[in-house]
Amino acid sequence: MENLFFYIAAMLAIVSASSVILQRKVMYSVLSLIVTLLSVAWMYAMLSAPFLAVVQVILYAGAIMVLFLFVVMMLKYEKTETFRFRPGLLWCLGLVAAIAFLIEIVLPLNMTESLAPAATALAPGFGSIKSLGSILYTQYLLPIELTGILLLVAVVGVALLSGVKKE
Amino acid sequence: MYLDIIITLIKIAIVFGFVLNVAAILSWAERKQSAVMQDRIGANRADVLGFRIFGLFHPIADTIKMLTKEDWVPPAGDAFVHTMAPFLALFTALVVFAVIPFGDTLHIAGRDIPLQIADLNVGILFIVAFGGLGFYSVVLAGWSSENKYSLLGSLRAAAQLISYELALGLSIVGIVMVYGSIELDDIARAQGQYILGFIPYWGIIAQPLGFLLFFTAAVAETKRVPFDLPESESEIIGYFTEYSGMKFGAFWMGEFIEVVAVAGVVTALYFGGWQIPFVNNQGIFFPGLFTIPLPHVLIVLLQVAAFGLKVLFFCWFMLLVRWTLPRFRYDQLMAFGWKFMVPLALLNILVTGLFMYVF
Amino acid sequence: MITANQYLMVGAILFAIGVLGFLTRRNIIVLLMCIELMINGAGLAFVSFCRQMGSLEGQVFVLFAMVIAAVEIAVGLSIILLVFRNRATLDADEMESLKW
Repeated sequence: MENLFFYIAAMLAIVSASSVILQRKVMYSVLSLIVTLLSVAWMYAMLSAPFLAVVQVILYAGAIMVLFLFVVMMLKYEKTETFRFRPGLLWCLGLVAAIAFLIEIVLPLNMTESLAPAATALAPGFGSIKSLGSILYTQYLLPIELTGILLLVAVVGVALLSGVKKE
Repeated sequence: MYLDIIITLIKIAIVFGFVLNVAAILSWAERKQSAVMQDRIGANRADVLGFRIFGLFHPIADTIKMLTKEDWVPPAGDAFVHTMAPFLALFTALVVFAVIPFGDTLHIAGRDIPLQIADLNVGILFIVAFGGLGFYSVVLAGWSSENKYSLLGSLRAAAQLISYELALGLSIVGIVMVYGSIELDDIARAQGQYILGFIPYWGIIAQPLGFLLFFTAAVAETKRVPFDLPESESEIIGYFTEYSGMKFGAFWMGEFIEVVAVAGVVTALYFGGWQIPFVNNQGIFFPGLFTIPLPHVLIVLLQVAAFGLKVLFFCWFMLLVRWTLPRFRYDQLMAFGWKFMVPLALLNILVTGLFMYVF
Repeated sequence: MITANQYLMVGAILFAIGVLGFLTRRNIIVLLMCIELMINGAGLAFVSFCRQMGSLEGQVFVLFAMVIAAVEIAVGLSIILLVFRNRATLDADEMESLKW
């Protein structure tokens, strides 16, 4: 049962991720990316990280992809839809580089003996909101505050960049 | 193993049967409600063999009408996305019911059956996450119609949904702080306590401001009056202008299912879920005075019925709101969301925190 | 039996697809989406290691990565909008002058 769920989620993730880079219409790329993000959230849930899974749906599918959708709705640019890939040899080089990269990370994975899942017993409530919150607001208090400042800076920056100047 | 699956399927059947029927009847109830409030008679013309039963055949007649209408896709638009959008609207409205508890744990034949389809330990966040995905149906419907007015309508709707989702999420934080849990069945169970021994400790009593904020934001999320700028059928053109037949019907149905969903969430969070005041696991009781014991199954059935009645009450209340209030202007809508609701929700969190620190 | 290796493999493939798209596509919006793919591949690896070790640090990193991604996309997309307003192009190869 668990195997089946994992394979469905993995297939969905990989197929939709390939569809992100193969689709002609940018809107279809955005929709495929949403499917990828949702299936990654599914895998997070299977890896006993339920809170992360929900945050993935809220933040990625509910907020970040919304921005993409807005921009794709507003901009119409046909040229990159008829010519999807970079001109000349550039895309061949990109393909070679990506394949080399994949081999590079998959080879060591095959050489190590397979890691048993949960070699150490999980504490009850692992990955729940309570456990994650207590570690976030004690050990990682400073980074969290810094992320807050970063978000504020981003809001100011975006408002400055996209605001219409009054003459 | 197989028994568990069958029990889950039965629970799904019960919940969806209730939700879909109530949503269909709401379309009739809305007409009747408007007729009552405008001193008319309302829909009563559909008859089967001379029987009219207050126009209750109208939902069926509507469905037949929509199924037989022409299904038209704009030639310049995107057929795939155009078809997908209404189903997304239905899906995101329906999936919310998976985590709403509609009764206490039922002990029957040595089994414990929690009366909730999926007991997820992220509870409320699941509702926020998948309720938020309803956004996509709006935006994709507008985009795929290839119509300027639909696009503008969907942008209006998207801005409204995003703005009010913030206030919605922030107003839930108060409830989570008070009951110390994010799982809906824990929250419903915690609402069975009593303050001073006789006032039920429901969310509305613990979080009156939070309730008002949540309910307002939730009505805004359903895109109904006074927040119906996205569709505003009478004068402005909305995002589903280019829809016809059952696809339009799916948007319509989705709206009524959202009404039931909001009523269910409000009941579960703020109106005691399945709790009946002065009825606990043993039977009817009054603190310190007397107890009348009742059989367990009867109590659970009463609680499920109480939950259903509360949901129906809130559905009716939202119809009442729909036909009472005028519509916001767009700048008023945005100002209300960002300058009034969000600061008030933050204040609610602050005050709740202070109270919890003091007491 | 699903081991951590399978999850790591899926993460690696997602990352590689992201790299591939980033190196080959023209449209700059798609390039931003490929960055998201790479972040997700890395996040999957983080979470599966986290499950393996029984510690929560990895999940915290993924949480921070999501916030950073949100910031990056917000700023990146507004820059794209500005570029499109001034140059009327979304082709990354045509955005070659540093100052205009």
